[in-house]
Amino acid sequence: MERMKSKAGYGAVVVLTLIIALTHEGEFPRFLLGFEVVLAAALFFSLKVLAGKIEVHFRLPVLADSRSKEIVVEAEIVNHSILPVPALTAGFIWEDVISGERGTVQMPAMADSRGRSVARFRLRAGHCGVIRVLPGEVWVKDYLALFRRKTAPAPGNPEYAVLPDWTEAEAGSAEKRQRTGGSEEADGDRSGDDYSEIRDIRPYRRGDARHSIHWKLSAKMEDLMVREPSDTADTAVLIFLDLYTADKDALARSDQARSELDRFYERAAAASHRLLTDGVRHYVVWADLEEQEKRAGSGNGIVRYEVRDESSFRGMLTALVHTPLSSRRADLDLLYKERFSDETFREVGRLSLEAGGSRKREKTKTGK
Amino acid sequence: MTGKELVQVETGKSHPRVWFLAGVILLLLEAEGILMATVTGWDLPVNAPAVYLGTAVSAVLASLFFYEGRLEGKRRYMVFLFVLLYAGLLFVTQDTFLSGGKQFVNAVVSAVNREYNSSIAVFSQTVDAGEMTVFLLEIMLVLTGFLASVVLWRPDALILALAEFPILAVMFLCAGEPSMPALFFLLFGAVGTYASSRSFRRKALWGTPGSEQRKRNLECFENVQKKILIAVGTAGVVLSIFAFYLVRPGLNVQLERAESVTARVENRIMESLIALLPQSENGGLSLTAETDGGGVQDGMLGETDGFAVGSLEDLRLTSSVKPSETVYLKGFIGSTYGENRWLAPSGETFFSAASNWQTEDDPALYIQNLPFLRTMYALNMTADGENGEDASAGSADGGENSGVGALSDGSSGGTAAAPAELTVERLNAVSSYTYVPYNAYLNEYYDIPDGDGAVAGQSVQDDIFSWFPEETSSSVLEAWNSDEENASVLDRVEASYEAYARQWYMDVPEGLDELKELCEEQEFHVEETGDVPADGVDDVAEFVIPYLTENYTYDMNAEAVPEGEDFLTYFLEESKTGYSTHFATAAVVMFRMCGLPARYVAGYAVPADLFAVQPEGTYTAVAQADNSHAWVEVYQSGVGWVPVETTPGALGTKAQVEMPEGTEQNGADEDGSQENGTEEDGNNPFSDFVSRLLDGSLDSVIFCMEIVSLVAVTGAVSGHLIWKRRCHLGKRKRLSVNENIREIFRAFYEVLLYAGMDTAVASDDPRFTEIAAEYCSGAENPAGCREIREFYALVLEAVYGNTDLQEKDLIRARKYYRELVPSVLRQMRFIRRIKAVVWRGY
Repeated sequence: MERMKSKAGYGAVVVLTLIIALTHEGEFPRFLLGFEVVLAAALFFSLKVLAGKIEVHFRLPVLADSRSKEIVVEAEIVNHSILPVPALTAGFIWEDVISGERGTVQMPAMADSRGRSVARFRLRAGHCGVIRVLPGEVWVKDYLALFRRKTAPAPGNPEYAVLPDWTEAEAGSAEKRQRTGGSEEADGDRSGDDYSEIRDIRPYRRGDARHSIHWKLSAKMEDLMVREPSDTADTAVLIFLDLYTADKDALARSDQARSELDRFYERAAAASHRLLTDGVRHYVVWADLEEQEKRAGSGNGIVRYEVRDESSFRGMLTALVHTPLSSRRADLDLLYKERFSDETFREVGRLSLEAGGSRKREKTKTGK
Repeated sequence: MTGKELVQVETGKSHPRVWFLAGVILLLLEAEGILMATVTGWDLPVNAPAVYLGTAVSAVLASLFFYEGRLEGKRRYMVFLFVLLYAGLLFVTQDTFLSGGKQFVNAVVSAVNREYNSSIAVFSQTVDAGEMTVFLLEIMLVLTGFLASVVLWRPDALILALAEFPILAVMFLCAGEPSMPALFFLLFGAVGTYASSRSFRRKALWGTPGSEQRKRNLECFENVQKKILIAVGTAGVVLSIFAFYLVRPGLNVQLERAESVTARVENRIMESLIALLPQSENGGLSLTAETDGGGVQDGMLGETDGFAVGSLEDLRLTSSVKPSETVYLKGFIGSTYGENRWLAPSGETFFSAASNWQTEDDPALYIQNLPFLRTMYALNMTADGENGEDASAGSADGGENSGVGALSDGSSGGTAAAPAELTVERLNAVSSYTYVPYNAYLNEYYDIPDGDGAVAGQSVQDDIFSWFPEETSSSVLEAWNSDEENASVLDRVEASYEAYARQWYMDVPEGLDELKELCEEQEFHVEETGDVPADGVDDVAEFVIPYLTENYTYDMNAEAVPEGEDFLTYFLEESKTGYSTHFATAAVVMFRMCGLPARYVAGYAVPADLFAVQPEGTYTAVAQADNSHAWVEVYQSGVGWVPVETTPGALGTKAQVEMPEGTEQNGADEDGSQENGTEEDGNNPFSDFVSRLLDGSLDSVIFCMEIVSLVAVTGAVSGHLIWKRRCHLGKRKRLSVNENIREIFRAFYEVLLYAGMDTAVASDDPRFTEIAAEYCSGAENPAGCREIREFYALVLEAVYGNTDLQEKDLIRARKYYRELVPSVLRQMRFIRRIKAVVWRGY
């Protein structure tokens, strides 16, 4: 709009000068008309040179974070010219990988001669998933804003993983437990065969999680005692995630379906994080059938992520949101046993997207 | 989207003083440009140094005020203080200010009066340069503050344009003619402000006030804005030269082609616009959108030239043969002078008299056609041999100067009796008249309401005339008249009309006794019968024309006749300056005083050389507004009305008017313009150039810019070279000795790279000295490895050593550089070597 105004204004000046040059016998209007034409041409060609000296890189300082956090996208603008760039517009396209939804974000900027500036965009994601950043159009304007020229930003499509907000889900679970009086019968999450069942009590050792301290017993023993979870080194603790959905397209059209997916991710994250905070090293298992198809028979598509600390937990979530949902039902038990046939495991939870993201009440299974 | 922000990671070095200077220059261009345009546009009498210097000082103060770009805290009180001081200044100088203001208004009104021939009243105020200076300074004080706000504080091209455009529009409408430098100042000022205002400014994205990010963004913005200002300003100068030499000539050709079309449109628009304006007569502002020729429609003198809005094409003439003399096309014909105007002849008197002349049909057309018919008759009679010998003698006698020989189509002789054909197409000329050549034949569709006056304009048919050129007709008829045996009805009617002309076209206004006495002293012989002898016209013309040209000055922009003054008397006795209208009016009166019937005619004079041959064999000329003209027609006995050119310097002089040598009109006669074109031998070219620059010619301003550009480019290249040289030789005072030695080595390393050394060879490469020696060898006196090794050792000491090196070490490093670098350069090709020295400064 601004450019059109500038163009219209300059055009009006040229037309006015032309009229004066035609009606006035003085030599200045004719010179002025020539000057205006030459100036516009010079600006046009200088813009061409200037645009060639501009380099724009889009990057993501943080590649993954929870949904409540802002997504920061930076456009680094490098001006290699000895002339400054007074006005340019840097924009990118964000794409929600799951729904295919797209949007464009732009921002005006400037860059000093031989200077470098960063246009920083802050966005907030509506849902969990993957946001792909596609380099958009970078327009450089001339000194009178008459013309603009597109310059190609550096290639690259960085992706940002919008992770589920596990703390909220955990808080929700805790609240639910409190509401129902904490009885085992009423709490589906804490059944008798809970994965965090105490196997042993032992004295506190340095490095033990604070929440594993058995306070009552410690008071009695006058020494810190901790609960030893039932986790063992040779038995894998598993959480199975079933990514099957009958209607994949619903995620693109329905906000409700998308919210259900968010809830699914959040429950999965909460379950894993709870185990983590309880000090239980575990695996989160799901099937990536699309990847299996791509590999054309190599592997059976089962994906297993070990969660042993905060970093691996985030890595697991990042991998999870990157995994496309499947429209084919997969038998996770079968696939897992097929892949890790010589390992013993203990399943402590199973979440299915198709079941509304809720945890299935299943008995803890063990197997080999 | 939750937010955006801009972060400057790297910005160029800020130069606050340079940026301030750029801002001051921009403001000076604007302020001084407006001032200069005003002063030169209306020729205001001012104390130039005081007013320009005062404006410059106020521009600098305003720049300082807006330097930080904020109008907060103390600055608000400063504004208040300024208002108070300004009010006090106005109070103290109120009388001077008002006087200056009145003088300013007077200057503008005078320019308007001159341009539009109006007589708007002015203040009775004596001119005082001091008062005008005070007035302008006090105005500029405020104006500069305003300009600073839109040029420096918040650059806004739109507000600047809204402020400047009305000033310039009023200036041009009110006949201001600003000098060329002023226009250039304004041009560059406007372009600079436009460029500044286009710089990106969105403080919302620059971070919170007071933050480091905000500070860096502001710094970057300032850098960008001022660098652009300097870049655009420099480019403007270069592009001006380019536009002047390369673009303007091409544009001129195209514009001149387009002018013929646009002028017509322009005229129509102006007619419509001016029709909306109140028109007042009797000395008031009177605007007409007609051409010079159109302005003479009612014989009004002094205000008759109208307001020509451009180079209008008024008439297009197409002749079957190429005329050999100026073609006069009659429009308005004046018979009686009175009340500052010529009155048309009385139709009533004419038709009353004509009833006795036994003319056929319309007597007015009959009398109008009389010269043509008589010429035709005479030629036919000669060709038929009825009056063979005498008439043939008369016709052939003139040779080139007689008969149809005047029509140089090469067909004289056998087709001598055939009249030529002339088509007059009206383009933009006033439609009140039919523009008729002398000795033309008019059919019954034409109407002459005043009897023997102007032919009314018509739209029934095209104006295609059969006609005889004036000289042809005169010579044929003179020959015809010389034979007393020739007599016809036509001749008798001519005699009757001559008597009528002598009776009605001899009146002279009262007064002018001296002139009358002078004319009577000439004792021109007029026959007792009342007939004016054929040679009498020439005799009288030879007296009247030199008298006028010797005693009066031709000036197209002659001043208007003051209210209450008589046009003719004022011209003859007071102003002694005028154009065709003045000269023709005076000449008519003088011819009459000398005893010859004469009339005032206004129309078009189209020189013969304006006719250009067309592919179909015809000759076409386009008469523009500047071909409109006023002249005298004198009645020649036995011939009829003949045109007499009385205006010195007129383009379409019928005959060469002998001008006294050394008179002011000489130059004008030659080229038809007012310019003398005299250039005294031995003039100092420099003073001539300076005077031309002050006059404001475009080419001199461009020449100045060329010199400035040349000096600037030379200065920039020299500065660049000197700076590079200083760096290469380690002469930077801000650096320590060690750092300077490192700089010297860096320059040496760059030279080696420039000479072709592999970039992979780092300066700390163990083989560096050997490789460097290869590039230094090969010349007649190659620098050896020893020097390189010593130089290298010195550099290592400067870089890695713990001690500060001494000045003598620096001198030693320079010595090595001076020995080694030339030996490297000698290995290069000539062009590359030149580039290394001239551009890179090695």
